[in-house]
Amino acid sequence: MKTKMKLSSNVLQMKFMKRTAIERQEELAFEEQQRQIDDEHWYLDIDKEKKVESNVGSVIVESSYSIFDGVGFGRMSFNGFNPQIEKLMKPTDEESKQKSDSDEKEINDEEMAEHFSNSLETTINKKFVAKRFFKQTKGPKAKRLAT
Amino acid sequence: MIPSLKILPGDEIEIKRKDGKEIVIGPGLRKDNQNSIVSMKCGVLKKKENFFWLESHQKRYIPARNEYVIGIAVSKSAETIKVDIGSSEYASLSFLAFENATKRNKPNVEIGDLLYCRVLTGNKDMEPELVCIDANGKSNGLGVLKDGFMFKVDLELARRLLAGSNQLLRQLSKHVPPFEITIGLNGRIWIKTNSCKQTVFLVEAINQYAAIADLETENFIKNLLKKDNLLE
Repeated sequence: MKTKMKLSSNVLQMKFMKRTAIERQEELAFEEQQRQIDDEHWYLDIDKEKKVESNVGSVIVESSYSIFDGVGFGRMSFNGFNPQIEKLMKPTDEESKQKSDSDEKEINDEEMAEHFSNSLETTINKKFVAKRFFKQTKGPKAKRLAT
Repeated sequence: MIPSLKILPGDEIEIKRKDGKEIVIGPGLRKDNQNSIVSMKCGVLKKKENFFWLESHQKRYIPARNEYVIGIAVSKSAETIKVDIGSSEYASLSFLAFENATKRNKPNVEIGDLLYCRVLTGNKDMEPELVCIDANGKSNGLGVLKDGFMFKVDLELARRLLAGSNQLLRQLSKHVPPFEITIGLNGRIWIKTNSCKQTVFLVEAINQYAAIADLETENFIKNLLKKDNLLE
């Protein structure tokens, strides 16, 4: 059953039902208040046509000039006048450099292939190489990887 | 599109949109109710990718978010400083928006000080708000600019000098003694050098550069150095 069982008004008038009666009255008053607030609340009446129009010609409005060409931070120091500022300037210079460098790989494909094809061979080889020769075989390889 | 299209206020601008790319309109352009784009001032229409804007010799600064500007502290109150950034209204800068600032430990800013700051909110209906720290709470060069000399140029020149492609300052610095410069997007430039003579030289150079095209930069510097030899 969805509807709440209601007590008849006659029963509620009896003396021992007073508390329940007051509770019910408050409940009703609260509901009434809530409804009034809902009615009073204003809402925007947007024309449907207007909405469609703005969807058709959607344009982003940007109030700043500086979204292109790196226009931004403007503190600069030259020839070591203010070393702190020159430190700040470096990252922006390097950013542009890194962009051009990022296409070049740090390690060639050939180097990579050589390294991996040798690796198993060399690791097992190590076991049979005498200790005094070990450093020699390891040396140049470590250097090459570091470059 | 013609690369330099001269526009008068109220001109309708037709922009053919390429598929999939939304048009971004910048300062000087406005979308009106009839779904067309109209200009608000006179200038030259410029375009970069899908960004369109009007370039003009405007001197009045209109605050926009994330722009770096040079302001002058005008008045101090308990929690904020009013800063003149050249816009129609003074901007407010909180005392807490400085590096290492707390309620007890307020930064030392006097009225009349020059401040290099970032615009946090630039709204046409609200007072602009400034900060002197980045997102990590570091000042990174923002804050009070001590000593030096400040002068004003028009906004276009300030933007030109700041553009990554501009070579004027980089080339000029090879021929002159050390100096420091701060360029605000509100058209204010602050210069600090070791000698008055050099300051005057740099101010003159920048003012004259307003009439020089980017491509002429190298010749311009050569002529400057011929006239005025700072290395003497």
